[in-house]
Amino acid sequence: MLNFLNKKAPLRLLFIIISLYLSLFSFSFSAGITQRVFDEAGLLDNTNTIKLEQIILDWETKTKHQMAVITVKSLNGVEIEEFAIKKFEELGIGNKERNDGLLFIVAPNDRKLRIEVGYGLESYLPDGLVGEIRDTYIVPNFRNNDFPAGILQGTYSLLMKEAEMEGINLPQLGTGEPPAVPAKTVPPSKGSIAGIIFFIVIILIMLSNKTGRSILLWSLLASSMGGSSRSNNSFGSFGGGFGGFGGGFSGGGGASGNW
Amino acid sequence: MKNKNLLIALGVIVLVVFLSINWYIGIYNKLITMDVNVTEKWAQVENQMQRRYDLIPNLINTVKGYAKHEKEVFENIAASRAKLAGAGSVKDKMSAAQGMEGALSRLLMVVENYPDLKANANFTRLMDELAGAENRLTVERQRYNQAVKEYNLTIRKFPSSIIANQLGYEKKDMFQMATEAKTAPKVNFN
Repeated sequence: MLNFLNKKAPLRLLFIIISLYLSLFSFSFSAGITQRVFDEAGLLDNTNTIKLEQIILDWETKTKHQMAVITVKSLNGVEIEEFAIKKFEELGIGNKERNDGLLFIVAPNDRKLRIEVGYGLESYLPDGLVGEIRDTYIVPNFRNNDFPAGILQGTYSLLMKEAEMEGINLPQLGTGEPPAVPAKTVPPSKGSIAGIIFFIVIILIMLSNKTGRSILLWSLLASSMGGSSRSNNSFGSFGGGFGGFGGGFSGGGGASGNW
Repeated sequence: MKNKNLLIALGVIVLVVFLSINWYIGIYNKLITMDVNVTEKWAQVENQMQRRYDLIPNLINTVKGYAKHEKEVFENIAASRAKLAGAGSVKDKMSAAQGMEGALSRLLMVVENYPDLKANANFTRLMDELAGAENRLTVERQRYNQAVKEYNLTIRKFPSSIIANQLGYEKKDMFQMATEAKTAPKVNFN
């Protein structure tokens, strides 16, 4: 400790603070990803994905419920109902106590879809209503091979109906700008570009110094350990916590369909 | 010296007794929890049976408007519904639910012959509700079966089997659908 208090002490202290900040940054970076759309089948382009994420996040902020949209290449012979309930539990959509999650699955090659409604949303979205939305907004679009329209309109009407039942207004779909929700997804903002430059400079300084190098090594090790603990899930950042899903369950409510 | 040895022996005995009591309580509580869990899961299954049961009068009324002369189908459903209402034990309820399953799937087959009925919006909504009720029942049934499986395994495994015996815990029945997958009502939206 005494050794620490020599003339280089302020420099070392600075390094320690910076490396702590660095590992904190890497932690919040991996935890801050709020992904709601998982387009494995590639039905949506970038614009539509962002739009969909924004619609969902806007609804989530207002109602405190959660929703995921998943497209899959193949169901591998599993019934879509079974697939949906497994995925729902795997992701844990919705709050753990309220079970207020919503899941929209599209399997274009099997020509099947399912909207899975968590226990807590069943009273707002009864099966008949979900079926009506499916027949009005989703299936006709899917029959015309317009998957983006079907997914967007279907998702929006589900969320709008649900919010309406709770007396909450959602902005209209397609009227002007998409809802003004701060995008919590990764695209770097001005601030984070400045941040990245700042970090590069710091890392260069650290690399030029022995103490700095060892601190850098340790903080890298620490942050990679923090990262690996969350990546044992097929989708990256789930299992509760900020930005992920909440661990909700579904009891098999909702509606399935084909086209 | 003798006294010291005696004390150590006594200490060991007390420790062993304490540990085994602790162990006993642990397993005892685990068994009780599992038993309660099975009962809770069964209650969920019954809830979903009830949901399906409640849908039937409405469904029959709608179908009757289009298919008056399919008397046999309606009678079958009414009979299985009465059977379910009268069922007391878990086993009776399981078999009544299976009967209901069969009667409903026959109704859905009959419906195929009435395109006007299939086009009826009210009927489509009822079909969605019915499909939802079926799916919920399947989900809760699987969760119940999972709980029963864990329970049955624990009461048969040594050494928890000794305590299960003392408690008089017996093997519980899983809820299998005889007609599952083959004739289970599948709603088609073509």
